[in-house]
Amino acid sequence: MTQILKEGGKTIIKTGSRIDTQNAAAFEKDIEPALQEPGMDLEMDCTELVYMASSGLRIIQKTMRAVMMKKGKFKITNVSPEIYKVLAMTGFTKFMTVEQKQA
Amino acid sequence: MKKEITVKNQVSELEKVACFVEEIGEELGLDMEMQMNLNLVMEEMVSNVIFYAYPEGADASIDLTAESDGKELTFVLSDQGREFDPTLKEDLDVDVNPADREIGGMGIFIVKNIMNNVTYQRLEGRNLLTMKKEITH
Repeated sequence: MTQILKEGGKTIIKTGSRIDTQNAAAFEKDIEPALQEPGMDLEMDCTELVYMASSGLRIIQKTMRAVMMKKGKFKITNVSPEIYKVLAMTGFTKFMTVEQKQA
Repeated sequence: MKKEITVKNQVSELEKVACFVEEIGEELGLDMEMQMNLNLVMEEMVSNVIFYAYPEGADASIDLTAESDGKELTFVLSDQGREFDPTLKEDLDVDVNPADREIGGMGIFIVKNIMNNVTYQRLEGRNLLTMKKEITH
């Protein structure tokens, strides 16, 4: 289950354990309200995330676009080493802040 | 080891594919990262067939076999959908910001990166996608 939390001026999206072909559309819908705000400062907290398919990467791509258009901020935190490798392989880590989970 | 599974061209069938890959991982004693990567590869390629190989609403089946000689694990994905060679898809330019790239198109790129070898054949009206991965411990 996706959770959206507000902390000061920041919006934190806490993901569930999986973003895959079956639930990606629901995840995209869950985070939609967070992308409407002006001057958004977004953090996608992946503490619970153990698996992400390319359908999840597409949503990150779209989120990057939305944030760029509104000149906001967006970072991904607490990513597992395995998912970090997939984000690196597809060129995300070069263009946005992706913080790995502390062991 | 040789195993096979047949699933319908429905998204809900991806769970069966994940179980299939997990059983193989357990049997071969693969580590967590390899397990996740193989799950990812099969989800990407099977969902590709589910979404694009057949006309909407058409019922069809998709076959997946896995075979290991102890050193290399070979998956063959086969369907009777329209001819489609995913290996022809141009590689992503990972030096371009994802926000400026076309949305999507990452599935096959991930598969090519994770697997050691990916080849396509069109044989007797079937798409055959062979994906090989070294599994040295």
